[in-house]
Amino acid sequence: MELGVGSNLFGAYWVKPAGSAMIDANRLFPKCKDYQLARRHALKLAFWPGGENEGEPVVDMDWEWIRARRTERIGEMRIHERIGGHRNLRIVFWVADKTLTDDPLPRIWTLSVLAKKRQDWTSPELKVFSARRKIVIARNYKLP
Amino acid sequence: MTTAANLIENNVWAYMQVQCALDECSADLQDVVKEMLEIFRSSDSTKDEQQLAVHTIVDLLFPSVAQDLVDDARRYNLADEGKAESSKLTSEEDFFSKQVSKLMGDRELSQTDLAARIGVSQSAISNLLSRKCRPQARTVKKIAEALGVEEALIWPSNS
Repeated sequence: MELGVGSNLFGAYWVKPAGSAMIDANRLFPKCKDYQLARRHALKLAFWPGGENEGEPVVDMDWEWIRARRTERIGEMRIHERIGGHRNLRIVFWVADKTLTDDPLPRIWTLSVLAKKRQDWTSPELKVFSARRKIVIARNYKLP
Repeated sequence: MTTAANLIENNVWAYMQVQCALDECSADLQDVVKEMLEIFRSSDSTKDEQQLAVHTIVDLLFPSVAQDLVDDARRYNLADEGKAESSKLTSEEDFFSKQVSKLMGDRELSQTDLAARIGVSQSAISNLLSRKCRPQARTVKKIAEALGVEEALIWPSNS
């Protein structure tokens, strides 16, 4: 189930899923219709308003930087509806700070999709998000 | 061999595959695996946190797993059941777009007006009405309130 928009590019960002986000989604939404629903909301990240516009929704979705990961440009987008029996759904994303030479648009990577159980992110969750960002960078970006 | 012996052999086989995949990783990514293992081992970690760590390791060591999920989904989406599910979502969005556009016209309400009433940008309304984006349930409710109608009039699932 592709989270990216493939050849049908729209918006200002190209939304792509990290592999582990796909595995999260498969676990969270075993029914395909639930996955499709979550995917449609995730794709709104193509219209992300930019890092300086925290507070301005992504279309109709609230988002914010994850404070402890702000410098890594990792944010969270909230889904305000119940999908597959889950509430407090979050899509954790990373705004890539450089584009690949063959990218038609800058990329936003979805790092995780999960049902948030606590007010604040825990230390293990934060470590997981950073780890996934590292994996995406290692696989897709050549650092100087 | 006994069932127990088979089980042990299978587990060792799986372990060897994991070890081989780990050996092929760069030092930086091997450190990532170690960090995820610490989360998995910690008695303070919740089941959900352990699961996130495991998913990270699975993707890191066996990237084909995620690709298989993508391929499975493509096949599903091309099958009758997947097409039907997708079509249902699309028809809901289509109904919403047509009904809201009509009600806005009746009330001589611009996209900017409606956006201001529900606290989003004009471009957000444009994306919702052009069916580039699916509205959340919360947004459907806000728009129904802003237009002074029942939700059932703009969203078929609620009818």
